[in-house]
Amino acid sequence: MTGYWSCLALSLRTAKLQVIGWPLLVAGLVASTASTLADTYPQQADRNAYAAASEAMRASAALQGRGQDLSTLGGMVANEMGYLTLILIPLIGLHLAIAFTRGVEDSGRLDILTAGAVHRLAPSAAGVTAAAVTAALTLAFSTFSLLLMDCPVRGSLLYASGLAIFMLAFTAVGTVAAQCCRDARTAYVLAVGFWLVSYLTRAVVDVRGWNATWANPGSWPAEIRPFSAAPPWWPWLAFLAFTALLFGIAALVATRRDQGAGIIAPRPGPASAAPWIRSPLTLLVRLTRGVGAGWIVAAGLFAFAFGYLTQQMSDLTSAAGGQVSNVDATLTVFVQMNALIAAAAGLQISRWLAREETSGRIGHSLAAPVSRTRWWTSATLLVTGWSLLLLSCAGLFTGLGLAAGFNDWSYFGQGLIATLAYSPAVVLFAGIAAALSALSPRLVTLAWLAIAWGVIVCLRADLLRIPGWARHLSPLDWMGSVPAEAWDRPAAALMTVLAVALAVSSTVIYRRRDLSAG
Amino acid sequence: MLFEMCHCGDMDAIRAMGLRKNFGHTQALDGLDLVVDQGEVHGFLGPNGAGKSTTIRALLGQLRINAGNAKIFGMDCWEQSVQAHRRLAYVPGDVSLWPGLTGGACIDILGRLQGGAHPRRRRELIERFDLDPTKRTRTYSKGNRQKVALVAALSTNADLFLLDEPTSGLDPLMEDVFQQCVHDLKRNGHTVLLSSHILSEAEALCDRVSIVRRGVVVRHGTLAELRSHTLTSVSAVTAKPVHGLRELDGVVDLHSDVRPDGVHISFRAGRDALGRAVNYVVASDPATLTVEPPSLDELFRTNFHTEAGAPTPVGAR
Repeated sequence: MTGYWSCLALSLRTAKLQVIGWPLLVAGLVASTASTLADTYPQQADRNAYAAASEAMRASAALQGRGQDLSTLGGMVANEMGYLTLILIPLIGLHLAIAFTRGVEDSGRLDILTAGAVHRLAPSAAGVTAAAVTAALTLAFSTFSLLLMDCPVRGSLLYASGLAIFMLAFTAVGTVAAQCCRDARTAYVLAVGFWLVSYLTRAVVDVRGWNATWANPGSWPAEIRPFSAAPPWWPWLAFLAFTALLFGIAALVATRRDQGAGIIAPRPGPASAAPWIRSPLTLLVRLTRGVGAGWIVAAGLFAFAFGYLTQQMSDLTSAAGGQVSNVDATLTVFVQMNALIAAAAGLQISRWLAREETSGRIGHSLAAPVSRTRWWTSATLLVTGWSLLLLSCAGLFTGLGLAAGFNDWSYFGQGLIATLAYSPAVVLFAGIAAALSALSPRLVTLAWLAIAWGVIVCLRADLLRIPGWARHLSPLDWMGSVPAEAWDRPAAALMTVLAVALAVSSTVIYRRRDLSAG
Repeated sequence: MLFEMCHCGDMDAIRAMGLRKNFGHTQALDGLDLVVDQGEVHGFLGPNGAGKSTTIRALLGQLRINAGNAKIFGMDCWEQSVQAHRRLAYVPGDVSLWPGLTGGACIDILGRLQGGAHPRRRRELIERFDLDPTKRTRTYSKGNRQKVALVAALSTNADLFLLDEPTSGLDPLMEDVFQQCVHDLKRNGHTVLLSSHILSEAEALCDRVSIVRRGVVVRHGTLAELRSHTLTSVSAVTAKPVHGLRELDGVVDLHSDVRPDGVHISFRAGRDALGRAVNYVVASDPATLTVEPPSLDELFRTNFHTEAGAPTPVGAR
């Protein structure tokens, strides 16, 4: 394939931050989890106790997958890293595949490359290879992390290989989506949708204890059992077959389609704009309704599934003699996740609006008699509105899931009201995103750190023995653990005031700075 | 008639004095002055990265200038940008349209933000520019994206049009349509600031031009005024040798060549020497005589050619 190697060199050079950064992040999380666990459970007796306690907490299998070989340090790491493995790894894999293939095609760079003495498919093949290099680096760095913690060599290698092949499998998913869809955004929706369905069906299978783990790639990482005495081979074969099949499909589509096109030709649309789009706010609503609807579907599925599983998970925990054995404790985690999903949706929409600025479209729109204050107020209202709508929908579906799981409608209101209790925190997240994007459209990404910390505190605060002040860095923690604890009114008021203050100061900043393009 | 008459006051359409703007260490505007009278088509010329787009973005209040002041119809470009924007329409140099919408929808949205476009004019312009408004913006070429922005701007009834290299992606037929539209605007008293590096376009359309280089306007005036500072090319074939030219101040590049059909002579002369020089040629019984005024191309080259070795100017973004 002429030009493959030079394209690969180009892909690796232009994206070196991602190619090296993601594996470093994963390896760093593996290392920090391993060292925390080694400190917390130094003796074999401690580890046996952990294994027994985890059996009792089988409920958590819904979120982090089945735990295996929990009396070894490696098994504990694999178990505690379940969130990362099942959520972060596949998302990295599909993101890289789409960004390195369709993303390049969207930007028009592909046309320049293939105009040279370069095979038509060389840049895409090189992009997929660059994603595979990221998986290989993840393997190398993570193995190194585990070896540093004195884990067995074979187990470390198998575990890290499992992370890498799981990432690669979703790189294949992303590649198929990228080849079939007309643009990167649609490809993301398709690939993330596939991941979400895989994640949620795995959750149901794990909680119900069904013997159907062979059917879903999301179940396979746990089935690798890297730290057991005799690790099975079938998950590897399943991964290889799945990945090879998807890459085959992607190659087939790639050889048959036009450059710059998908498999469905774009249809003509209306020759004029809908009459209700007449102001900045309505324009922004029109522009974000697709992405917002996608979030509503995803959050609804997530919320319903976990609402539905709550009853079973609480029962499992109580039956096994777990210490915290009431529905409220389980529900607290899920409604906090609802709040984090709503905040993440708001943040993604903020980033999306930041791209409106860097593309120059805001500059073009603001050449009309529209003040920056009006534009910015509309944007802030929009992000806040979407976050709160998402939160309400998630609460609604948690309530429906609870009602269906318990077969008792009295639980419906509980799920909804507990979720809505986190509104001030969600509004504060929107305020943080607004303040950052007012400073510069490129800074919005930083707000993901706040969300990531929120997730860690929500799911891992006790295990990682995070001190109280650090937990308090997550706005969710200010609210108290609703519904397990009472709603903290002063905190809610304070957060609302803070969010309003951030929104107002962001307006002042935005009015006074240069637009970044236009 | 496509455009309505413009009813304007007696302010300058654009009055920018001493604009300075730096991005980090790079000085994008370095004391730029620009005055555009009402009702004129003003060419804003300069090489890539000279500061044309930065100036226009400063006029639009997108950039906060470090020094100087800029007014549109007497309104401050930063403090009173909304009032100023009521009277202007803008076509960006690099048109980006909302993905997922159609070209027609983009035209409507831009028009509505502007405060209402003229439906009949929108229809006529779409027809004249041969634009398919039902196509998704992603499938448009650069030229078609520019047509969308042009139709959106031209179908409003703005007094001032800020056009940033509006035709760089248009084909020659569409370039003609564009020039007709600008002529119509001018006939109805609208003001146009046309940033361009297509000199034939500026020559065809502009009453006055400002030539910008490295953030400063280096020449401005009507084309006639600018030409008066540069040299006219004269070439002739005469029966007998021409005397007196070599001694004349203001005659340069003199070449004389005796051939079988006569004396081939060519030279370039400044404004003051031109009349006498041509008289000498006429006195020598010319068989052919060509007097060529400097084209805008030549003006441009004489202003920039000497700068070839200078450091590359900075861009607006």
